[in-house]
Formats: sequence, C-alpha cells, structure tokens
Amino acid sequence: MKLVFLVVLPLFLFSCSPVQYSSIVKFENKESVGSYILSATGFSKKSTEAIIDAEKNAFKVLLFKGLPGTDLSVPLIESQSTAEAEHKNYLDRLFNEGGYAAFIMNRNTSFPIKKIKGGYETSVILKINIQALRKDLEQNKVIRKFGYK
Amino acid sequence: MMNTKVLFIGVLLFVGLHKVNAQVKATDSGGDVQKVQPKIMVIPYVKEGEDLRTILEADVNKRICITKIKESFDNRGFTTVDFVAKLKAAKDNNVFTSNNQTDIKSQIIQMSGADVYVQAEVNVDKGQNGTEVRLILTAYESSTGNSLSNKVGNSGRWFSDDIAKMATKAVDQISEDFLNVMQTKFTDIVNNGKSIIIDVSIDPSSSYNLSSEMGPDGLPLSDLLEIWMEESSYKNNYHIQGTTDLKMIFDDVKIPLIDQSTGKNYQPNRFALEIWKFLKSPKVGLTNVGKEIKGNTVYITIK
Repeated sequence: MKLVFLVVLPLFLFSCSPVQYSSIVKFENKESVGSYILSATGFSKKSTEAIIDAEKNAFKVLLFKGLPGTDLSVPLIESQSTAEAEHKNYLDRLFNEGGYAAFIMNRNTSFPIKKIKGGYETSVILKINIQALRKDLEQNKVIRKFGYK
Repeated sequence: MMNTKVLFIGVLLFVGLHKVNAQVKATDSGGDVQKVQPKIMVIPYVKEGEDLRTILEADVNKRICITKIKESFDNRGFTTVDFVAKLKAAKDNNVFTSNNQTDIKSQIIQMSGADVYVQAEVNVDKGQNGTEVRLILTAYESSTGNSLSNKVGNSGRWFSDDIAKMATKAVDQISEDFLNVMQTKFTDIVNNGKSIIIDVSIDPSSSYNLSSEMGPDGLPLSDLLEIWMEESSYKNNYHIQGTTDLKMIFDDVKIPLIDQSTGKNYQPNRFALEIWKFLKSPKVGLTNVGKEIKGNTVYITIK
C-alpha cells in the first residue's frame, strides 16, 4: 500500500503541475534599416491576454536574447540581470504598462486563438521600430550610446 | 595673533582665486565630463598594386559602399572621420614618405588619429545567373590590430547592372549586426580599458641598456619596467611582445578610459608621463629620458 502511494502521488502531482510553455519568436523580414518584422507566439490563461504575451515575448527576445542567424543576433541589452536590477522602473513601464506598444509600427493579430491544455495560445506578426527602441533605451541610459558613452 | 589670522585668510583667498583662475572660464563646464569617443575611420580595401590614394576616385561603387557604412554609424548618432578629407589633408601636407601601399595605409591611419578603422572590401561577381555584390567589413583597433568586428554580406544575385543599388543592399544586410558586435567590444574597452603600445628603446649613444642594473635594489632595467607595468596597467592587464638589450615592447597595455581618481578622461599621454616620471625617479635613477606619443603608441627613449 505504501509503495503504491509513493508511486501514484508523484504521478498525480506531476499531472497537476502547470504546463511548461515556451514561446517561439522568429525573424520574418527586414523592411528597412531599423524596422524588422518578427513573428511570436504567446500563451495565457485568458484568451484575450495571449496576444499581449506574444508581443511581450517578441520584445523580450530582442532585448535580452537576440535572434541568431539574423542581423539582430546581439541582444539590445547586454546583461539582463544587470538591467533588471538597475532599470527596474523602465522595464516595468515597457512590459507591465504596455510601453513596448509605442515601438510597434504594425501588427497582424488575425491568427486563431487556440485552446490548449492550461490556457490559450496564439501568434502575432509585428513590425517593430528597433531604431526607435534603441534610442529610447539609450536616452533612458539602459544601454550605452554607440562608442564609449 | 590678529596678523596671523589676516595672513591665513589672505592665503586661503589667494589659493581659492588661483584655483578659479587655473581654469579657462570660457571652457569651464562646472565639472561636467564628456567621455571621449573613439575616432573611427572607414577605408577601402586595396588589392596588391592598387593605390589607396586613388581607389575611391576610380570606383563609384566603392564610394557608395563607404558612404553607406558611414551612414550606418550616423544612424547610431556617431560621427566618423572622413577618409577622403584626411587623404586630401595628408596629400596637402606631404605626409606620405614612401610609395609602399602598406605604409600609405598606416600613415593615413596614424595621421587621422583614428582609434578604430573599418576596412571595406567590395567584390562584384558577374555570372550567367546574374550579378552579385559581396562585401567584407572588418573593424580593427588601430593601436594593436585587434579585430573588433567582422561580417560578410551579399546583395543576392540580380539580373541588373545597378551595382550601386546592390552594394547598398549588401551593406544594409550586415551593418546592424556589424555595429552591434563592435559595441560589445566597446563595452569590454569601457570595462577593462583600452589598449596602447609602449615601445621602450635605448638610444645608440646611451651608456645604459635594458640589462643595466638600476635603482636601490640593483634590478635589471627591463625587470623594473615590467614590475612597474604590472602595478600600473589597468586591472594588471599587459602583454610583452619581447625584450632585447636595446628594446622592450609592451604590445598591449590596458589603460582606463577614465582617470580612476579624478573621473576625468585619461589619455595615453598621461600614462606616458607616469612612465617618464618613474624612470626619472630614484627607483630607477635615469636622468635623460625622451617620450613621444603617436596616437595610441608611446615611444620611450632612454638616452
């Protein structure tokens, strides 16, 4: 009985744990110098928030990860941990208060919102003004201007 | 007692006034320090037999490429040193002392004072499947020759003779990433210091050499210099290329961009002065030491 309990309980707990979800952000095209088209997937428990999650994911990849194999391979922010510690207010404004939307030049949100285990998933295609985003990061001293400054 | 007080106040006033007058009022920024930016110059790549001085005049596509690359720097709010203007100034001032192409390149770079130069190689490949422009961009630190960024771009194949447009496409394809990689190297320089070269040589007329035992401990001069460099280079970061009796070259010595005690910009001249002071101090005891600075290279001559 004890053995059954030891085997069944972890299985039960595992099945109740939240679904591990990973977003996909892809480089689609470079329209002109400084403006790029990216596609991203998003996930949320509420169907209305899946699009917002997808948009945030695209910006998080641009800022902290970069997109290898494209000319955005170097992330805009060199150290995520340093930026999160030193520029918390700026990043809060950007992500939690929707500040990132100012850098979206165009968005295609006509993809279906799919019901998946634990919530909803969708995709968006965004045209992002990276030149303006970089300038904003520079002006707020989150990143250095080009050179030593 | 009263006289002493008056004298003391007088001295304070004099020192205070003297301090104010020590700075030119017209340029007084009230302590605001602007970090000195690196000087960057974009130059064309030259093949063997081509002349760096005439290559741009002869090829409009290369000029377009160079201009587009400069435009990428401008988009980041950065002003580059104009190669053509520097070339003209060099010609006017009869700077060129030889016709060797390698020398001409290094003379232009040295004369421009560029900390970094970006070399652009443009190749046009015409084939049955169309024409393609390939571009190789390489950024070098002038002082050490360290490579800061490398990218290869291409326009893709087009059935067109508009080479200029294809060259523009090739630049647009890689310029963003090229600058981003350069910026990560600049971050390293900001954090760990910039590289300079220290070239120490013994004048032929000197009675010393680098093995001469100097100072109170009677250590060889080259070892005294190395110990000093160990203590004085930024974050203890230096590299010796080689030492002979007559020459000692530190081919990569890191110095900070900002004076760690005053917060002001720190230039190679200041570091050269520190070496000069050390060599003339009782720790070494030399009396006749010459120093010369060319860009990021410091020449110390012991006479």
